[in-house]
Amino acid sequence: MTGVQSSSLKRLQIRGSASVTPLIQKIGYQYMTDFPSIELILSKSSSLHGYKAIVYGTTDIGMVSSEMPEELLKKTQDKNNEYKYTLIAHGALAVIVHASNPVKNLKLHDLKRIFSGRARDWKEFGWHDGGNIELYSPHPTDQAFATWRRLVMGENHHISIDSKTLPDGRALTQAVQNNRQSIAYLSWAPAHATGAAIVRIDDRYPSSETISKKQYLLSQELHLFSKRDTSDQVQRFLDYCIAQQTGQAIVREMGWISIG
Amino acid sequence: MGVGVGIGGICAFGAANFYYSLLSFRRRKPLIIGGATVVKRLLELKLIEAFIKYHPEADLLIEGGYSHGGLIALERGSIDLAMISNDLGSDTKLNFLEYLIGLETVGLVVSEHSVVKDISTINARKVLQREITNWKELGGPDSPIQVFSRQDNATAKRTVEQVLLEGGFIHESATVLPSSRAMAEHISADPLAIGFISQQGYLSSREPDLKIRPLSIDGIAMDQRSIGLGLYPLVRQLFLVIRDDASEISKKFIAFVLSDEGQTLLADSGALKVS
Repeated sequence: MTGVQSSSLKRLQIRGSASVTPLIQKIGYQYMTDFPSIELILSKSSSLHGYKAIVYGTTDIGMVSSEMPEELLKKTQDKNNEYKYTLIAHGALAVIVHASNPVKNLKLHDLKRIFSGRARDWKEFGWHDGGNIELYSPHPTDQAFATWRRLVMGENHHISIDSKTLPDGRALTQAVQNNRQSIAYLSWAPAHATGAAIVRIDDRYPSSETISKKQYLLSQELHLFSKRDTSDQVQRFLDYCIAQQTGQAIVREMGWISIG
Repeated sequence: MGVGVGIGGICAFGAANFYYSLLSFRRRKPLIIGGATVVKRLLELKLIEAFIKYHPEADLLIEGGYSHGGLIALERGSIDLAMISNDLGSDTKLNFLEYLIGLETVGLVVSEHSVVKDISTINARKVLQREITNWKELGGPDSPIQVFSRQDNATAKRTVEQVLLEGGFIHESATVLPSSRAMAEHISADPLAIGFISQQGYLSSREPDLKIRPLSIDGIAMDQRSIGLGLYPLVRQLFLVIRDDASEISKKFIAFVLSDEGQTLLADSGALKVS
């Protein structure tokens, strides 16, 4: 089990987005291996928690993958220069279909109708003998699920109960490969890596370039959020995350797009 | 001592000050804490007594129950501080301030002589619920698994049931032991046994004659790094929550819990430090 706790240990607390958590767990593990006098303590929750923890000073580093909510923005507007964002990775969601599916482009609005179950036939999208649209979705605990809800479905639309839930990117790409009428969304990295048939969204195809320039609509940015005037210990961890040899190598290894 | 202060007030500053200081001495500051029982127990072992010594004006009342109930009571304003013993979840109130105060962790332990060194979460559930009863299903010898457990009110047992079994129960056929010391002794003596022990229980039973070892779970060893980052699955994060309009005495309580002294008292009570 853990060793005896020494008082020379320095503890840093990190809190926030479930989308950022797996990446920071991996970078953090390496960081503690390299710097045994630092102990990182991470609480997985949400971007809102990540922002709030810094604004209220309950945590050292926030993890955020969406913009600061309006309500919190109001509270902080006169002191926005007290905080800073450290961009650590780009990512995106991809929409995939069967390789034989002639539909190559969909509008964001179409995706909302398809995944809420209101558009049910491929012929609406130009594939006349396509038949029923069959939906696959990641598990609700997957970061892609929450991101999809935020970027595509919005507050008032829910993913159809007719959609089938699968545990990970590999299962999703396989399921779509085996079902001509299917469509799925998932993190861009596994979709890209397996060569699945990725659909353009509003005429943009996701690539490292269109994602990092945010030209592709379903792009995500992962940030660490902190006080601008932060401690040396915090700054050293932020620097480690953005250095190409350390944090950014792990970013690429985990299938995100590195910065810079 | 309070009376002495009041009388000192007369001599030094006159009657008006005496009146004021007497009043302030009598005016006790209510501090009502409610929520997760596991946090209540942790605070009660050592920390609350020390806090009251520094702040005799605190009229402290602490009540155990569930995390969720604590948050509802805090929102309604019927308590000052809520105790939470699970993940924060994604939702939160904008006027809530959540402070991480400690970690509680439990290891699944076997004899040092056991050949099994790792177990999957799914198999661990099956062993504790007696769906797997033979070591050969876990890569061990063809022998029955002896499951040891603790009483229902043991914190380690609650953690195993809530976190690992997701609210399920350890099978009733498991042999119940009265203490973590007894657990360590039984596991040490029996290479076919499996049980669980809190971090604190493990450290206090680390004697040369006791040969026990925590299993890694899903390949993740129970070390400081994986516990802190939340990679090791048998960890509960413990929080105290106040509102942004919290009373001074509530803020002082939080500050004390997070101070070096407060963290050391919690560590002595079985939690892992977080600040």
